Amino acid sequence: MNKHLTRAVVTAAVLGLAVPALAQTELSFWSWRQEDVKAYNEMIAEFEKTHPDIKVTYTAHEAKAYNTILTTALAGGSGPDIIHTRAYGSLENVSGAGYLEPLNDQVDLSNFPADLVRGTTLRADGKVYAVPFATQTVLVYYNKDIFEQQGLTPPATWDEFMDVAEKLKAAGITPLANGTADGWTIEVASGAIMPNFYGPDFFGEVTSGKTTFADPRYVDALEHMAQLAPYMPQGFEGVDYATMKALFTSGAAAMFIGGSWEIPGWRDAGLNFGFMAGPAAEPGKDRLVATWLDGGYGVNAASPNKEAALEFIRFTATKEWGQMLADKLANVPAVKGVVPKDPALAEIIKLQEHQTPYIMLVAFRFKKPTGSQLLQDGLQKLMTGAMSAEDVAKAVADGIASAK
Amino acid sequence: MQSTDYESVRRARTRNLKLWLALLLTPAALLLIVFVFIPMGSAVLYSLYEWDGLARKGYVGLANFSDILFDPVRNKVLFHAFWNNVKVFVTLMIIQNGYALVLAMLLARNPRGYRFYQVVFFLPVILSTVIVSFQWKLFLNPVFGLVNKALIAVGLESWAVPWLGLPETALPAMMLVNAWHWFGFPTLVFLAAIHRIPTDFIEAARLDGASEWRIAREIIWPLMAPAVTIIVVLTFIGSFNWFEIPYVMNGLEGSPQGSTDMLGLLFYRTAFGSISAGGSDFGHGSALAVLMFIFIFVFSILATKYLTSREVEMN
Repeated sequence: MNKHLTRAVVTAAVLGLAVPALAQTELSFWSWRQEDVKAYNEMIAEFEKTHPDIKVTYTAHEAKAYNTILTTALAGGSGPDIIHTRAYGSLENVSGAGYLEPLNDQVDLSNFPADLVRGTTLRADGKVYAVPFATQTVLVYYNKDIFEQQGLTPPATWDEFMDVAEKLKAAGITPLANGTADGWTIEVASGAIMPNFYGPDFFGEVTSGKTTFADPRYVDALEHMAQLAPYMPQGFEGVDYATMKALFTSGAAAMFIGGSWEIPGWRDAGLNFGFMAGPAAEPGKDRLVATWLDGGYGVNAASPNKEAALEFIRFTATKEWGQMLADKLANVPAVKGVVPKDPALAEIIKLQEHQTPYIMLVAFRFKKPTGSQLLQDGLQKLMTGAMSAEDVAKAVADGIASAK
Repeated sequence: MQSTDYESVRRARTRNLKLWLALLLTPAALLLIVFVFIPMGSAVLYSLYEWDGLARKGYVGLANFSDILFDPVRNKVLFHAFWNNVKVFVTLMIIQNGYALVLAMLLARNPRGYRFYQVVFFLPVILSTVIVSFQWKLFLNPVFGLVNKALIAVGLESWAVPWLGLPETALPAMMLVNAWHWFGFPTLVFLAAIHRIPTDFIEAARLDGASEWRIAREIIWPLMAPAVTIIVVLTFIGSFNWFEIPYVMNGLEGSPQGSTDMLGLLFYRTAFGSISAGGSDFGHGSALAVLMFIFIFVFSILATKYLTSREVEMN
């Protein structure tokens, strides 16, 4: 208890010595978005224009190690004033421990869709601990040049998708860049394909316990996933995320199933690409896209500068911030009513009209083993033919039932 | 009288020297205490509590330990990982240390280019493990990798498999990488041990008409036993703490299909969480770390005792 007091006194003393004239409050802001440093600094500068008394320093840590670095720092009584949090289970891990400040009466979140605010709400006390920042959507990207050369049109239904894949393969082009070496990438790919087969109601039913993952609809969805294997790169079992991206950007593969966060990377690579929702199960059916909240901005409950940090957090809940997220970072903002300058983002927002939650992340990452671990393991077995769709579905259902 | 004077000076010098030694050892001891012993102690403490995310909740005694060892959902993963560590230990003993032994025996005979080989064999050891792992991950890449390109070039298309992607080949590939990285170390240790054996022993045996195989088996091998003890124990510790290579090459989940899961990865996932494995759980993670420590510590001591008792003196 005295530690915080001591730190506050020391900090005050140091700041007092360093900048006696300005009396500026310095806030630290940690994130895992290393690729976004420049844009965040510009966005922070917008805030500092209207708040000359507050200075925010953005520090991005390596994405894989971020949770570890953050949790270790917080457990040790330190950590930043402003925390870029993940959502759902990862958020609970931090907020449940009392490290984040509840925001309910502090920040106006009425302009956010309730589904997304759920991603930063702790299930135990129903309080919101972070301002939702951006959503991710699973998309099927395709190389426009290859499609044009081969005289192909983007497929709208599953049958068309298989037909296009077959034609590409016959032309000596790898139809799909996806591999299974990094388990999470095949889980992402399932987010484009499977919802179209298990349908829009499955999420609600499986989360409320009305059905399980052994449901025939889920088995059917897995069976369709398995049909992708012949169209994946040769040796797809060893194709990791970096290789997938290299295959797609080099034009060796014609399609890539991945998250909406890939767009800036494709643009940097100078790729002529388009994207679409996963193919519909049958003609005339809606094409569902899986979406999730990527994370939020929270305030360290132990911060000595809580008021200033909350002031910054309120700024991140504005449409102005959302507009910058869209225009500077090509993020699809969680806040409602943003019209992105970027037509691609506008298109994603349109695809989101038929959305379903990205199932394992949104609802089954709270206990262990997590739904993601079970599904990734199952998909690796399914794609190599080591296990049937029915057995994978059963293994996932049993794993979820035994998780604690 | 002269001699007592000399004695007291000598004693004073020894005392001074001892003081100096103690003084010089202090920084290292302090570093060890602060960065090794205190964290070890806190891991034991953490393992006795329930944790909710990052917050320490109530004292639960040995509940975390019994969860890990006896809960069927948890111990399935634990024993699977443990079994993989056993495989790594046995395999490395054979391919890494066995190969090193053969090389050391050959080098001990002073072949042409002795120095060159010695340096070349030791070179991979000085590289960072992370760099070695990453470089081999690229070599083994199924699309761009050198290994498969080379296999195809010599007509072995059917051998060009995604090495790190198949559950049957991923762990063997990683163990080969480990052997490539480390074999120079046991080679040097064995070589030094062989050099310590007085040459008269070997020459005498040769004069008596003993075969090279017999010399190796009955003179060199027993007399280099202390080196073997060290290498066996170090390989044991390294195998059960194996982390860097599997982590860099195939990630925290022991992909594919858990075939490269190790106790070290399981510990890391449990204690700190991961994107796929969910949040951190210091309680069970610390308990696992403590169990790993006890297992490695006890077995290393037993193994050292047993192996030392079999060593012969060089009199």
